Amino acid sequence: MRGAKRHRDRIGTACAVMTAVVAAAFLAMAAVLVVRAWGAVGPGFLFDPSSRVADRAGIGPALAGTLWLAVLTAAFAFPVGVGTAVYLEEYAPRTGLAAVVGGAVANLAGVPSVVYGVAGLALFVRGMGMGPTLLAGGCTLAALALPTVIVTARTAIRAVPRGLREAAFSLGATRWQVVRGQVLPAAAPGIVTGSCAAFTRAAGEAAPLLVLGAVSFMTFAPRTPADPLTSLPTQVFAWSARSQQDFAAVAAGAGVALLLLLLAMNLVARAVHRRVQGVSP
Amino acid sequence: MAVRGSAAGMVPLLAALLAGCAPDAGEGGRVVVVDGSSSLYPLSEAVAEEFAREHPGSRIVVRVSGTAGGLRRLCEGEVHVAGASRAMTSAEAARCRSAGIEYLALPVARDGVTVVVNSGNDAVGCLTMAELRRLWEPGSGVTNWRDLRPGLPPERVRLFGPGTDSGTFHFFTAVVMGRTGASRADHYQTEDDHLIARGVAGNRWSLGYLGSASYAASEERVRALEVDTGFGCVRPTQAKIGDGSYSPLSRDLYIYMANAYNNMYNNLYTFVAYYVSASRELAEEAGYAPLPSEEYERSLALLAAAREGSS
Repeated sequence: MRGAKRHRDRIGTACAVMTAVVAAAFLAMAAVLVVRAWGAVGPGFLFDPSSRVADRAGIGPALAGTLWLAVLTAAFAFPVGVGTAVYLEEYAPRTGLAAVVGGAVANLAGVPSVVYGVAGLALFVRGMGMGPTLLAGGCTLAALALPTVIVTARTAIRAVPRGLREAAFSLGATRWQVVRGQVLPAAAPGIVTGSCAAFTRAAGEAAPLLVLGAVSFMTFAPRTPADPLTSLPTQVFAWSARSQQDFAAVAAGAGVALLLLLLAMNLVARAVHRRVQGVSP
Repeated sequence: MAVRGSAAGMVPLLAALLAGCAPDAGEGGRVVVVDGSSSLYPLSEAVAEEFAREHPGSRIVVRVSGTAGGLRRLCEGEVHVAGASRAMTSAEAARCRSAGIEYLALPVARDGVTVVVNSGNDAVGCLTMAELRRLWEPGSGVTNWRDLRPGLPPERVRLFGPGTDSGTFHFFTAVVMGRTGASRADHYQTEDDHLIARGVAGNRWSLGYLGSASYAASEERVRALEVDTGFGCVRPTQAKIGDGSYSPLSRDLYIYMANAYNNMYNNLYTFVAYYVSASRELAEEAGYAPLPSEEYERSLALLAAAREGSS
């Protein structure tokens, strides 16, 4: 007995050490970015467009592009993803085509993001004639986020106790009434958390957008989804590809901005999570 | 309850999105799109930036997809100005014609294809055209600096070059190998000159070639080789490129302007005229040799006539 306990303590210590290592690594990465960006970031950094002179370069268009992409991704992937998850969990039979679709979706979550870029180029940019716009970028990132949204939503729906459903059915509720009144409210916190993780990951992607045809330079911040495709990650890429040393600092500044933005998105997600949890039965 | 609320909120949001995504022939679409050669990118970026400073609210976008990519999109009606580091081929011109897209070709700067090595490579200072040819020809057996010239260090040559959509690639292969597109392929290829410079900067025994503006931007990390075309070694400086001493590796860079959007894109003419007249000063700043003044004057006259003819 005592041996087992000591063993467990040792595992606990090891886990604590690993957590500390991870925390230290993340802090160090953030610190490196901040230190490198220090001094490169002027007053207009958040609003100005890029420039051929590092001191004047800003992230205005890129920031607006990323915000648009996040909204578009969520607007496309959330309803479709949750709808698919509800169908697969609550309506579809456990065998046959639906099971195949469910398995395929789980596998899609592991496909490298650049592959989505290639597919998006063929389907949205050329096939549907959207051109290299924010809309095409949002559709591609939504496709990228969709499998994760579906998988996490399914898990959250499956975790809803059977008793809840059975109680509602026994009171004469229809299947849709059960889903809407019982299952979705109970699963909402899990669905929201999982979806937001998928959206923040999508918002941080550069590779698929570069394949679609992200801009290298633009003089204005995009105002509609039909405007040209730009984002913070592609701007970071464009700057870090430059040979001039002082652009490395600007790229680090954009990296810090991206980190803060993703952090803010996570905070919003947690606030929504808390609110949804409060309302649910 | 909360879920139903957010689902209901989604409907007007989606409607707003779809409205925003309607085809943009009108007001929202007055974005001038510049695409094409990465050799010309530094100039296009400088011109777009200065134009936007003088014309607040103007909407200019610059992309890089290589000369061939830019010209292809110009003739597909996707871009309005294509930077090119070579003249349009007859096949490309035919595609433009069949799409009903007229265009103007305007020379804006002169540039020299610059052969670069790592700053730490002090063994070689000048290569002859014959050596360049042996190094880059298809099936070349040169893998080691010593294969290229006895006396050079027995180190592996790592090559970085432009990709096949690059005008620099077309030009260099035509001049050095005598046949457009003839090149060895066992090396890193990219349409982005910056990445070539970075690759060469990262490896002491590497070699690559790129446009002179991209070289100017990375001068602190890579070194330009002199090239001997039979009349002694010539360094690709702005002066030597401008006066033609660096021929045959110097060439004019063009912008191709689609002349098909006269009503929709009034600002396209304003922008392109600005591009031509600002190039004189900005070309030098960006690391190219400016063209003689008459060339710019001729382009502006051509542009004015085109504008007259189309309005």
